[in-house]
Parts: sequence; C-alpha cells; structure tokens
Amino acid sequence: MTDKDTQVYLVEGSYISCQRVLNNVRKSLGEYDEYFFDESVSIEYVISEIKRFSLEDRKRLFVINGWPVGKGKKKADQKQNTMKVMKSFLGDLPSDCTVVLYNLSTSSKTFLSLIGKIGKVYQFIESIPRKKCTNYVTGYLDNNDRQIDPNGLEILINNFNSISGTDDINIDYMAMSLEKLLHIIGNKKTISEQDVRQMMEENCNFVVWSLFNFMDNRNYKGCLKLLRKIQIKETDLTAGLIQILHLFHWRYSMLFFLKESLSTGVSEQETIKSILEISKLKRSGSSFYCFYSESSDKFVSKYNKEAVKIAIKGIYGNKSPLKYYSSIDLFAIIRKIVDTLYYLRYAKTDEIKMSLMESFFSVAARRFSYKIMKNLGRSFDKRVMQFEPSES
Amino acid sequence: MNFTVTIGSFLKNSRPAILVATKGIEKDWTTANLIEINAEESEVTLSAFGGKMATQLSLSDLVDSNLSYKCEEIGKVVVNAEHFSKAINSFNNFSDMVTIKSEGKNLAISRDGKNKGVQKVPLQDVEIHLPVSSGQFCKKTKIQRDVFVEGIQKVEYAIGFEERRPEYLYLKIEMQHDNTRFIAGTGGRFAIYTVEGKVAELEKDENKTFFLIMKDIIPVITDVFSKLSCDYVELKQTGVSEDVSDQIILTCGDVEFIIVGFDPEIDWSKVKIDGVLKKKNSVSILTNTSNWEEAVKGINATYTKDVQKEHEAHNADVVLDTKEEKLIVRIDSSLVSIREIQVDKIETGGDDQDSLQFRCHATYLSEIVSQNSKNVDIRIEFDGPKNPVFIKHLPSTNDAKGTKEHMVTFFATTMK
Repeated sequence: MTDKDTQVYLVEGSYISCQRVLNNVRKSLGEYDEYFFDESVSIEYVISEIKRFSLEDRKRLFVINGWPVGKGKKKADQKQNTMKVMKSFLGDLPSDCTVVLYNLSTSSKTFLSLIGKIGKVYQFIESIPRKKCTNYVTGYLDNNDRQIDPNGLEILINNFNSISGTDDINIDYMAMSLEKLLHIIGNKKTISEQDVRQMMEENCNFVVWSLFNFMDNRNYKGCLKLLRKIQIKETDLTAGLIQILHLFHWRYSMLFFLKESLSTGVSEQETIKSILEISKLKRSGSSFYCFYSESSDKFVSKYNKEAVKIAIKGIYGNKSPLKYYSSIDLFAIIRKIVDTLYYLRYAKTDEIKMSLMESFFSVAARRFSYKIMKNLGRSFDKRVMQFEPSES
Repeated sequence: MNFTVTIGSFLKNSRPAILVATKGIEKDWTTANLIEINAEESEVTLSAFGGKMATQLSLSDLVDSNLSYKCEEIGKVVVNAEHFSKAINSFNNFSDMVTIKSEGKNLAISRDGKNKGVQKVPLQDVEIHLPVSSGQFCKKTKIQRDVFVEGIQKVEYAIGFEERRPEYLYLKIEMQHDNTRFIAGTGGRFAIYTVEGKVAELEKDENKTFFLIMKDIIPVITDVFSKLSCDYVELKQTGVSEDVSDQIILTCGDVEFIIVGFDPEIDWSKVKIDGVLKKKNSVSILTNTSNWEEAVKGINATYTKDVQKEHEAHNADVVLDTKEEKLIVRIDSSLVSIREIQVDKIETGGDDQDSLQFRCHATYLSEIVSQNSKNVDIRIEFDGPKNPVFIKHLPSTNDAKGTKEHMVTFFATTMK
C-alpha cells in the first residue's frame, strides 16, 4: 500500500480505511517526527514548517487533515489559494518529508489528478448497502479469526442503523460495532446470537425491531425487559413511548390489511399493489388544529415495498409475521395501540405510563385469549381513568 | 470565624495560595479561583486547588512573627481568591491590623481605630478538597533554590505553544551529581541552560534524574520561590499507581505545591538534545549582543501586524562576509530590512560560500537581544544552510558557588 519513494498521499473516505493507510505510512518511515495541521493554521505556516530542516536528521511526516487557510477574503478564495499553493509545493518536497492529505474531502479533479501524478490517491467508500453487509461482516471477523452464528449475523445486519433516508450502512459505524462485539466476546472463537443481542440491546433501533420479534413470538418477558431499557434511555418517556406506539400502529395496520386481503383470496402481487396505493398524508398544524392533505408534489406511499414484502414472505428464513397472528389478534392489538396512545397522553407519572405499556404488551404478546384481554383491558382502563382525571 | 492579623504579613504569606487559586488554573475546575480560610486557635490555614496545582499554607506567628495572629472564633470559609486578595490589598498601611470575620453570607475584612474601614466579599458554598498527597515516590531530589528559579527563568521563553505537540509544553530539568540542565523548546528551537557543579542532591543510588514541569504553572512557581529565602527546593514525583494520581510535589521551606493534572506519559526520550549539541560546526563567530540591538529593531520593524495577520513566514537570510568580518541579515518580505552586524572573530573551515549562509525564522534572531542581557559576548556557530544554528554564551564561572554556567540556544534552519 505504501512505497518508500512516495512522498505525498491523499486519503479520503472511511475513517478505518484512512487510518490503515496512515499507519502503513508511519511504519514505512521508521523513526520520524509527526506534525498535524488543519484549518486552524495558514498554508504559509504549514509550508514554513515543511521547509524547516530537521534538527535531528529524522524523517518528518506532515498530516494535513483540514484545509489550511489560504490568502483571500472569502472562504472559497482561501481554499482556492491553498490548493494553488499546495499544487506548486507538493511536487517539490524536501527529501525527508512525507505529506498525508487526510480526509480533505476534495472534489477538484485537477487537484486529485495532480496528487495522483506525484503521489498516491486512496478514495475509500464510506457506506455499503445493507444487502452487501454480509461479506463485509464475515470478512472483518475472519481477519480477526472469529466466526459468527448465522442467526447472530442476521440480527446484526438487520439492526445496524442505516444512513438517514437510505438503507446504506456506514462502514466506520459497522467496524466500530464489530470491534465492540469482539471486546464483548473476549477469547471466544464463535459469536453466538446471544452475544449479538447483548451488544445490540444498546442500540435504540434494535429495541424496536427486537420488540417486533418478541411480540411475534409471544415473548412477554422479553417485551418487558426491553421496555425497561426504553424507560432508562428515554429522557422524555411519553414522547418516546408515543413514537414507538405510532411505529407499532403502522406495522400492525399493514399486517391487518395484508391478512385481510390475502385471506379473501387476493393474490400477493395484487395485495402489494393495493397497499402501496395507500398514500402517506401530509400533516400540518399541531395538537387540536392538525390537518391532513395529500402531498401535492409527488405520490408517497404510506408503506414501502420492501417492508410489505418482508411482512408477506419473512426475512432471513424467518416465518412471515402474518403467520404469527390471527385477524382478531391484529384487530385487538390495533385497538389496544389506539387506547394506549389515548391514555398515555393523560398519564401523569412514569409508573402509570409503564403500566399502560405493560398492559399493551400483554395484548401484543397475546398472553391471554382475546376475551380475557378485552375484560382485563377494560377494567384496567377504568382504574386508570379513575385515578387520572382528564386535565383538559 | 473571626481572627485578626497584620495586613502586610498576611498578604505576603498568603500570596502562594492566592496565586495557586488564580494563575495557571484549569478554567472549569470547581474550586478554581477559590481559597479556603480555616481559622484555628493557633494558626490560620489557607488552601487552594486550581485544578493543576494545589497548596495548603499554615500561617502563624511561628512562621512569621510579624503576623500577630489572634483567633477570636474558629471556623472555615471559602471565598473568591481574587476578590479576597483585592479586598485586603485595598488597605494601604500594611502594618495595620485587620479583623477577618464571617458575617452571614459575607466575609468582612475590617480595620478599627482612626481609619475605620470594611471590605466584604461573598462566601462561596463550596468545599475545597485537596489532592491526597502521596507518600510513595519514584523520584526524589533536592536542588538549590536560586539555581532552580534562575534555570527555569532562563529557558522559560523557549517553551512550545502547539497543543498538537504536547511534549514541548513542558520544561525539562535534568539533574546529575555535578551537572544540572534546564531545557525548553518548540521542536524547531531549543534553549538549554547548564550549571556545572554540585547544585542538586540526588538519591544515593541515582546518577541521573529528570522532572518535567508544566508550562502553565511555571509563572506561579518562579514567582513564589524567587521570593522565599530557604536554600533548597525539594522535588518528588509519584509513580503510576491506581490509588494515587500522578503528582509532582515541590517543597521550599513552608510552601508545598502539589502538581497534578499533567500527562505522566509525556515522552521526551525522542528529543535527542545531546546528539544535536555534539554536532561540529564549520563556522564560529564571536559577537556581542549590543552589536545586534539596532539590527533586531530593523528585523522587528518588518514583522508588522499585517504580516502576522496573514501568517506569512517571517524568514531572515543570514550571510557571513569573511572579508569585511560582518554578518548580513536580510529580510525580504513585503517589508525589507538589510542589516550589517559587526563580528569580533571568525573561524571557518573553508571558503565554500554555501557553508557561510543560512535562512531561519527571524524571531530566532530577535531573541539574541530580547532573551539575553545587554553587552554579552556570544558565539554563533553553524554549518551551512541545512544544519542547526547555535547561539552559545561564553561560560561564566561563579567562584562563590563553585559552579560554571552555560547557555545555549539552537534552532533549525529553513530551506529557501
């Protein structure tokens, strides 16, 4: 990756990959002095430091990880000046100097091509689609002489936080998560599903997705365990719980639609087509003055195709969630979500909020028959109402 | 709390605690800028901990007979050190007695008699917890107080400033049985003050030891220790331990500073000062600092605020004219300065013109005047444009002490 004659390196992209190149450069230099510069210094200062001879005849490594300030009044002019000065200077470095341009995020093709001519350019990707994460994860673990249980791998990949608005996963985040996992397992050679769960339970995203799994599998205890985690993590418990309930509402409404549609003999394709035609409404105003309208710019579906397909087919060899629930279960859960949302807004203490959620999970995890659930729910709701008069 | 003291004596003796509380502090430290006053029957104790350094002083008539300490009521309060110091300083006649007394939420400093007066400072609802002083040390040594203070003051100016190079934010004191060195530098320029002679007392089984002193606390140490009268400063350093954070404890007479918050892993081993000092130079020039005064004025005249603002490299080209026996210093930036400096004696290894010149940061030349006494002979040595330049003071002998002192500054040159 490094070459003894190369004096200029440009590295960009994933932090982990950039660090790997930088460390290789360091190794190749032997004994050296290291200097860091960023946007807090001027390019003139950087050059004066590079031009200074070493006192001790040692090699010198200059890491520039921010554009030093060039001459000019506007920022754009300053950057242009810095690039211009760098272009003229980097080709004629003193023999004891190595310069690493570290994550400068440059889009200038002429600058990149110049550095390519006088040195080496490494541009690493920063993210990969979730679908392609399997190879990355297994490769990373192989390099560390570790194996992973297939269920653990599935949970791990399925629960990495994606980059906002995409299903791409940041490589650095993924590598850090894997490092964390390696620290958790210690000397163990094979990472189990339990190890992955232990690590991922810190991940908020994972809490919600794990709740889905627990509710599907009627694991009431698991639901309550994760509910405690939410209680610890959330600074605004009501807002956090409401947000989760809205997500549940979205999911169970989708499952209810699919269940009903498929049970009446509508084909999977037709069902998918129909559900995707339900639009996501645009919300304006707030509280009592909340209005909904169709988005005027572009049609946006309430559900996404991928989620619908997973709901029908299942994922990573898991059964379809539809197979876990009867129509009446789904109806009861949706009703319970609506009721819980209503009472949650009026609950004064965290204890009552948690009790409401426990009541919800007893329904969602289908601990009892629908009839018992209905009666229990009714009596519980009455008690809550008795102690929690409306504040309006 | 209620006690009376003589103003002047109290001010003089409380100064170390006031300085520790207010100078070289960790800004966000909870007890920064605060001082605790604990009045007891026979003495008043002042405690301060600014985050980087802590001290506890016990003041009584045994420490200073002029203090005339008299306690009416024991008690402990914490006040802002600067407010307290200014309040006491506001009483002009230092031989007067003042009563220091807690009154509700204030500390009242009052003078009775003809010129009645009272100053009040608010009490702080904080407790000062000093770092636990360690009893186990990995290093321990004693050094003559005047040498310690002078050595630090001589090289202090050369300490680094770049946070990216933290090792140069420390001043190094190297001690051997018959040789003590004070070293400070930026990586590009170093100042070394050496005292040959027995000025330090090392542990019996030790031949060499060193201490690194943080830049931030140096003004406090030199200010306090220069005004004391005891002969030795004792330096002790704890090793890395789980129980006690690393500390350096400096003791001089009744004053003890516990220095904490420094990085115990700061590594000076990479800095090979001796290797540079052993370099042989082909050119040696004898000159006097007074010959440089006007030239340095010229150099400084070219380093305007505009140049500083633009962060332009402020380099000077120096050429030795062996025939005319003079150095020519030239600065050729937006402002120009060309100056000739008379030299008294030149020794060169040959007439190779390239070896008779160098380029360096102009500030290093300015320091020949700003960091040295007037009318001092110095020897400038260099070996061509790529090697370091040395500015050496002629050794001076102190017959009374039996010591010999050297001062050397060396700096890296710059390519054209």
